[in-house]
Amino acid sequence: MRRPETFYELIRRQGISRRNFMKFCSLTAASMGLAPSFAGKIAHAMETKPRVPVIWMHGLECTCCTESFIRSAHPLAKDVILSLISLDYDDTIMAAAGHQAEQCIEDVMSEYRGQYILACEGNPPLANDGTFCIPGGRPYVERLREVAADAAAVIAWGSCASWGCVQAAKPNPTQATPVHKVITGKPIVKVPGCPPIAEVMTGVVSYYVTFGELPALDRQGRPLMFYSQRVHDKCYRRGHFDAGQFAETFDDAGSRMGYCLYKVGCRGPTTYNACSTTRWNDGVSFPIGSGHGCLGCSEPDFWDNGPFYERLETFPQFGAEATADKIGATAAAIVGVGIAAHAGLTALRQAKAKPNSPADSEHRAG
Amino acid sequence: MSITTPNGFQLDNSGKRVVVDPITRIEGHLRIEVNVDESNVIRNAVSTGTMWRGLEVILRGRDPRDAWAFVQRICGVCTGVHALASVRCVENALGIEIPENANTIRNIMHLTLYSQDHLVHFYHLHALDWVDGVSAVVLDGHDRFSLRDLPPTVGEFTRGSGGGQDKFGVACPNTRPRAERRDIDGLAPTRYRPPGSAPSPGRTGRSP
Repeated sequence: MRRPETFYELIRRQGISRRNFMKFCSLTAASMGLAPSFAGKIAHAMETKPRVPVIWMHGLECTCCTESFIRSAHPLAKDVILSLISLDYDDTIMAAAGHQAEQCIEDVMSEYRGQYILACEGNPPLANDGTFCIPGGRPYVERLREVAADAAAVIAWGSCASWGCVQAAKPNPTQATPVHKVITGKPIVKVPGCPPIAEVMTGVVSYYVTFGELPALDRQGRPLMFYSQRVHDKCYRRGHFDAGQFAETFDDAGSRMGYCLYKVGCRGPTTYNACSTTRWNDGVSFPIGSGHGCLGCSEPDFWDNGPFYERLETFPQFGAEATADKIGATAAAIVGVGIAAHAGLTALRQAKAKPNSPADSEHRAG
Repeated sequence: MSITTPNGFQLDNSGKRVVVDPITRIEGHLRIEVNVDESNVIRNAVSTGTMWRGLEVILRGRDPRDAWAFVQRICGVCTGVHALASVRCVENALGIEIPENANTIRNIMHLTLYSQDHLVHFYHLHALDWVDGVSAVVLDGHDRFSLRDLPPTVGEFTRGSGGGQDKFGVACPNTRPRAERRDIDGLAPTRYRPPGSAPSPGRTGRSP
């Protein structure tokens, strides 16, 4: 078996200096939220470990995960694709098509048996024997199982592969099924989002390449380092939430003042993702920064948790139809009271600390 | 043997039958087959979409204000246009008129998406179909070529080239396409901006 080149060998061959290599390692460590000391570990791994072969497959999806991935800034997607990993098969950005493309998968599967990563974008439909997705003339689900069988680990890109996403929204006509329900007995990391944040995607890949294992996951299989906090927790409008300052409609004074968007449907309080810290497009913005509430796109069943412009009344854990029945009504009441109490209490606390604060009078004026 | 598809296309084995499936530029979700006759002329060509998600079915009974987000997922490459079309449909159906300013903002968002889409499409998705990778690698001094050696993104093609051409001799609008493109992405009303900046019925995405 041919030994694949290491990352370090490859970039030196490309004429990149050691100084720049170390800079890359530090940036990568920082982007993964690791301590500066990890830069050394990353450097060591990249000097010694071969690049990881990756097969990137597309089921029922819209390619937004790939589109997001190629926009990664730290590290640049180029560095990940060309250097960290060996992206041997990806429908969207590979040169080959047809038989050639299929041959690529076969080659990787036989040459790197048990060593390659299977990156799934989209999910398999199970209805009608899987015929709602038949690339290469065969049900996608069959191909997926085959390729997964000899994979070292599986990455479920995006909400499609992680939870089901839009095609699994009611009534889920194709019986679209998340990857972890089809592939068992393999380590699977879910990177939900529609699409996931680019730096989160490349961060997960970098972590695997560096440490040879998946990062620590939460109970739902998401990497803790990116999905342990809610969008609400680090939102720059959080101060307005705590002060009880809300936009009531999209064109009122509160909206213009940049107040909290909770009352116009923001899902930030129940959405676990790194949008408010990592942001998008190299840190330029995120939905709330554009004056629109979070849709909760990294949460299970967020499509059936709407309407998007109605205030959040129920938690996804209680099911999409929770408000319609008794349990749902109770749950909604508890949650509603809880959130209102949370807002009220923090507002009260602030009011006590600062009576007649300018923020308060501003809100009344708005 | 010959089969007629429900929408009237003919599938058979006449002449030389060439099937390309998957078409990787459509993430594998397209199949093209042609029948070529003795004089190398294509006599029959059929394209087949190989994926169906049923967004039309899923949309039924939803809040019309949310429709744009569902249909935006038709395609992750050209997202914003689907959202915009949906918003216009809903406004048309409900008789909503938007202010001239809102229309202008939407047009700017649309054209920004148009520009960024061109860069993504050209450099990331289509260049590989137009550049002869095999010859290019030979030109670059490699003595061996496998698909694995072919840079899968154009970012690599243009890296290190100082002027107006990449190393394959393809004219580049600039030598730092990635940085430039990211700046444009920051303006674009696509999901990478991200979703919130899409307009929804009766308004534009951004507070005035």
